[in-house]
Amino acid sequence: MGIIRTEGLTYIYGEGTPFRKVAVNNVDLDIDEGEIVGIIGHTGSGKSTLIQHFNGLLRPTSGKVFIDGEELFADKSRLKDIRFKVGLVFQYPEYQLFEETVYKDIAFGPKNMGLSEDEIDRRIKETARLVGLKPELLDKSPFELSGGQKRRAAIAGVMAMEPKVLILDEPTAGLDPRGRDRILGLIKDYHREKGTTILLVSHSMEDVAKTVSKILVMNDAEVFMYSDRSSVFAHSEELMKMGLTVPQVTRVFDRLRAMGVEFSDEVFSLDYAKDLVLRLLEEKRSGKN
Amino acid sequence: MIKDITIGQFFPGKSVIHRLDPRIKLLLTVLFIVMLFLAKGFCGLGVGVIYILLAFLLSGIPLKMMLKSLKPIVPIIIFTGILNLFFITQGEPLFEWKFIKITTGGVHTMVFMAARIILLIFGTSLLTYTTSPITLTDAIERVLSPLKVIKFPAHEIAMIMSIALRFIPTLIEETDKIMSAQKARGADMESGNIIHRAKALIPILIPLFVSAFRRAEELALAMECRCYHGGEGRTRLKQLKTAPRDYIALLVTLIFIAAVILLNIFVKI
Repeated sequence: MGIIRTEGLTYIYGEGTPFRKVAVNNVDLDIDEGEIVGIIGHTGSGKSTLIQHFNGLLRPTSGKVFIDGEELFADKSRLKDIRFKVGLVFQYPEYQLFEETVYKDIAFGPKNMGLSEDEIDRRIKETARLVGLKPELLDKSPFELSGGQKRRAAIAGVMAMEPKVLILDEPTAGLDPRGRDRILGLIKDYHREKGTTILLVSHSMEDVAKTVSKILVMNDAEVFMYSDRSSVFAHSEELMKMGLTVPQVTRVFDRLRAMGVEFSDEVFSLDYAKDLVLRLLEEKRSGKN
Repeated sequence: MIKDITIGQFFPGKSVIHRLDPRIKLLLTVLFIVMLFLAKGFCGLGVGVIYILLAFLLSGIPLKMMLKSLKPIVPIIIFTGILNLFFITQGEPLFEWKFIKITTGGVHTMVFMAARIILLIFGTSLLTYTTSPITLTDAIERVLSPLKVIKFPAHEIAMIMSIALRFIPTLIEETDKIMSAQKARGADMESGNIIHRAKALIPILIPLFVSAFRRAEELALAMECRCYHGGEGRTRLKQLKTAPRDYIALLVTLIFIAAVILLNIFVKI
């Protein structure tokens, strides 16, 4: 059984009012431990509502959520403990920074968990290194940092709680390409180092394709599909209809294949595409000789 | 969720009352208040009751909404009621026990005052039910604008009010988001004593203030970029125009006031 499991999860906003809206409709999911999953869907497809169920911020209108085999809301006193297992980084997390120093802000989560001073200190230093914040920045006020640094400090605040599942809602929103790659890179590094299950919410296929192994596509409050990258991208036409796109580079290589170029791999990132093209050219040349 | 709080109580509609010029509506509300304070007896208040019932019927606002508007002021009614009941000692004594003395005068004043407060609330609620907050600030600006001669900042005050109204939902949404984010980091806002709870507000209030200031700065910049420099010489998208119905409403109201004055003179109860 997976680390996150839902059964018939449904959430309705404004039940009983004229503004009633089904945000998540009858979702059955099973996400395995250690997986790195991209959750994708256009605006209003229910991604953000869905993930807020995973750490009990929202209570399902109907259906069940299991974290690590334990049902959420079955026992209210356990809710806080379960919440520590699932770290949730919201959109624009830098707007939640509040402490006098970056150090204290990262310490907020671990402190709420009731950890010892030494343990908190160790975790802060470790996560600061993981997200690439230099030690001298830790004593600065979070409001003095640059936009990208703020974002990384806020992510560190959740990572320092060492959750079993880390959920990031649009972690690259509003960043420039370099900032984006940096955040995605550190998420991958974190996954490699800690083996934490990671859920990455995004509406950018390019971002998701570069980072994750499996993709969950949300459309109109329902799960359209949950599968690995290549089988999701194989449905490119349906994705287009939903207002989603397959990464540009994947489309280029699909076209190449249709034109008769032979290669077996699916291409999701530009770097990989470069290597592949070089390899194919190499093969072609040696084949001629 | 705190998102569910409704701000303002505008009830969209197309009735005659909705379509009245907001300036006239403001004036009518003031006249209605004058009417209530002119009334010396229950007959006078009765005229007020007829007036406001008529207005509510015309507006198409459900009666349930009318009663709902009373909810927040129930404590005030009870409080003034108790004060009047025990501290007015005119009239026949009805009940005496040690220092407590209840008289007919006290009961009379209690009922009269309560009725007056309830009618006042009905009148002002009808105004806010049938006028959107933005139109209302617009009307306030127009009504106050003659005071510009004595340097009263009518336009600025109206602008401040509309901006404040505009940002209330935004800030509520923001508070909601920050609360969720801090809860996700294990912040506990629901348990503990008062000091503990007050402390738990810090992680919410600081980001909220920071973002409010940021938004204010951005808005100011955006307004300046569009060459906003105060009210002078600005024209408006929606011109307020009075129609015959506005004058009819005014006339009807004046007749009701006259009726109250006549009742004061001839009936005296």
